Amino acid sequence: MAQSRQALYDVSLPIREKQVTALIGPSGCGKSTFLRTLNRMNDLIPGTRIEGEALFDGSNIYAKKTDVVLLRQRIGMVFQRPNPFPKSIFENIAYGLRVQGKSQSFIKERVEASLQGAALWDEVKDRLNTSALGLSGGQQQRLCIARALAVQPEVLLMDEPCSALDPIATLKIEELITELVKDYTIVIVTHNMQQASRVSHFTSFFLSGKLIETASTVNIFEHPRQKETEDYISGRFG
Amino acid sequence: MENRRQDGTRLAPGRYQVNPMQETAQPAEQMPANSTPEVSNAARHMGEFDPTKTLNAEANLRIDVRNANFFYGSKQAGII
Repeated sequence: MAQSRQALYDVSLPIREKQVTALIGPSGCGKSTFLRTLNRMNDLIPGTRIEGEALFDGSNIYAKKTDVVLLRQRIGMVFQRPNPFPKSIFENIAYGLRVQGKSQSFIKERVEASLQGAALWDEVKDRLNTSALGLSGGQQQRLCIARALAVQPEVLLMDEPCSALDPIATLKIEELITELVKDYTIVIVTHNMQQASRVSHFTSFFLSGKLIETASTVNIFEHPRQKETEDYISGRFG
Repeated sequence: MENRRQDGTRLAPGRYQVNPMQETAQPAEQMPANSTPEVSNAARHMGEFDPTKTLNAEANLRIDVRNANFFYGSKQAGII
């Protein structure tokens, strides 16, 4: 067998419905790798492999019969940097629905609902046919969230969604997360511990590919059980 | 970032002793009054949001990962 590098070690983590779970830890600790295992985004990297079990509503995410396209529709993802398509605002949201063969009237309805869900409708409703690349960074990121919402996912994975944004745009995304969690299960990777404490119900601390500790956010920050967790959240390393 | 005061006592959850040279973001509830209305609204909302009030430790499991080990291939691992 070709040589490989282990990035996650024996990680067991439950993700609860309509709660925000934050993954924290220093760079290279495996938190983004873990996030990407949840909707098989790592499959796109040749040579990767996973052992163990990942169940989504009781079904094995890594079963051979799993429809990966459907899986990624049900478990949507928002990336670190806003990545709108070089198309109009409307077409960015409509893209996935067109692939699904939805009707024009359904698409129009979903575009508006998705933009409202991402708190962007009021800002763009009069320019839906202009390029998405003309939006600010924060608006582009909310557009990407709207694009993910358009196909009606059940879980949203967010990989440092605010790391490329200024504090004001960050605040708006955080506010949006607190609204979205009423309808969606959210898993967010963040380097910002204040952000984790502001928006998440549960926090999991990763270090060197291992899940050191997971608990309610208030317990992680107030009563960490592991010394490594306390050292990290108190700024002694990382 | 330090979640203890200089005297060593612990700060409230979510509050950190911030080095002003490193970070300028303020807690949402302390956003200046001259912020734009939309920002003030967001700040007010964030000030009201308290994850401890909506925490549901018994919520249904949507995803359950058990004993996951993940390996990158040699190319991604930088192994020649």
